[in-house]
Amino acid sequence: MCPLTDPSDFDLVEQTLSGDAEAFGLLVRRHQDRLYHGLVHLCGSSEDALDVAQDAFVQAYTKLSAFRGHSAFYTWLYRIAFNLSMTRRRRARPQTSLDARRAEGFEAVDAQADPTLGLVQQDRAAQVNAALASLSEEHRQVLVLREIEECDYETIAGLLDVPLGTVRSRLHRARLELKERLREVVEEDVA
Amino acid sequence: MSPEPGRPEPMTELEREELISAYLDDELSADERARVEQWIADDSQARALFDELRALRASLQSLPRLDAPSGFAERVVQRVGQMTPTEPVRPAATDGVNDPQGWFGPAGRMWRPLAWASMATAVALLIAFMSNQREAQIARVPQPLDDSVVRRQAPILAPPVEPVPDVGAFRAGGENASLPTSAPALESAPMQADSDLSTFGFQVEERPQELLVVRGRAATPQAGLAFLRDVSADVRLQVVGSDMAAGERQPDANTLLVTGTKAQVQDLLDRLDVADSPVQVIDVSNSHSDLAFRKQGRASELQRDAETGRPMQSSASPRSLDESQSAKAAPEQLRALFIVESEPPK
Repeated sequence: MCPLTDPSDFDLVEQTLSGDAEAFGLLVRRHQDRLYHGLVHLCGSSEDALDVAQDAFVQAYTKLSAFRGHSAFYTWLYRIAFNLSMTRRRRARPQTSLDARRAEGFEAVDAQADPTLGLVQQDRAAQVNAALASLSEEHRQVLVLREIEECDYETIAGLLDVPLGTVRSRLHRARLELKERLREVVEEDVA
Repeated sequence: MSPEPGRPEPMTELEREELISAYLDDELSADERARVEQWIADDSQARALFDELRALRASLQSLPRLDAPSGFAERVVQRVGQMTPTEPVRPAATDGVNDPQGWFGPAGRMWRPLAWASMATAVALLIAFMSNQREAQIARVPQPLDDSVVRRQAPILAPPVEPVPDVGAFRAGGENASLPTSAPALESAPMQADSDLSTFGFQVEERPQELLVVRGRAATPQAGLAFLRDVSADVRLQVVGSDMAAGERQPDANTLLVTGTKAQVQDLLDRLDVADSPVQVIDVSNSHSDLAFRKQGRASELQRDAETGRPMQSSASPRSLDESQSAKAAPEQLRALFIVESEPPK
């Protein structure tokens, strides 16, 4: 289909609300990969990300009339997904250590599965994923929101329910922590 | 020592670094941006940090894209497909007559026969419910009791503003019929104050009073309340239903006050949000105006009663409302009234 004739997200929402189930399927296909990718890094496991992504789409469907098109559909959807993922994490046992987190399934994302990457890229992606997974949840959240979801500070503040100044300082501390864990990678890049 | 007029405040090293980090994100004012650019130009350490942070960003943003597994969309569509017609495509009461795309718009066509039958049931239930709850005035929650319409419904973010329409109006109205309006919508109300509740579409930021009204449906109210007690180990519960006026519990008592942290109350709601739950949530609102006197005049008594197990005492009349005082009393607490109704006959 010609991109120019693709219906907008808002059109698809309206069509869904008019009883066109296929329109919602198009919405899902349009946003599923981006949502899943971000959630894998936010949740720390592909299994959790899959569950949250599915639940988010279902919840979005049941609330669809609340979407007015004042923001992008993905932004609206992501808020739902983010809140679902936080609820899910809160129900898990308190995390006291990296070992404990791994014990409950919080593992670094496995990038080895992507056959299109060269060995060097795979190794590098594995290092970055491992470093990201080893961060505190607070730091990982804010980094995922900023660097992977590309949220601005105001959006992050809204999602995390913290002031803008906290976003700025937390993000910087998270970067310093990640930089320390990826010292070799970063130095290599800068050089 | 205060800085000289016109000169910026001295900064700690960490504050400087934070500014450099925010510069990378393009989240600085023009003045701040100019300062950082000057640092990066003049100071090798500042420049090194900026380069490192930029490299860090590149490494995160170049992570291989992880796509959703094949069949993902089909599974989602299958799930939502199973929700109809008992689960709404469009939560009706948020739009009403002024929204031609709403419940009575094109989407309404597929629901109209079912909606009519269930609305009749809804109004009958509402009338019975109101008579039971005269003392408490709870029954003025304005949502239709139509399970097919409001089950797991979209956000109800504002106090009710219109009465429930009568059956005749609904019957005759067709696509122009009206249901009560409640707004604003989820999207227009940023979910900042309480991310937990916002997953349900609540906007708590503008509603600090922390009182929810949850309406659920069970085979019998007694069974529903018993189930709520079983699953709610972390919250305090007290039956405050139609026994209020008599001062003793009646068989048809159907209202439960739940007091707990936001997370606890939400957890309780989550446990009901499964298909096989004996209690199905059909409506959640914060219609504080209807329940104002409870918050001001009764809530503290109810909480004490919940702790001591003493039976409720009746209240002769509603008391005055002081929402701000109520909100300040227990900012971390959330109170919810669970109103459990009987399932309509099948």
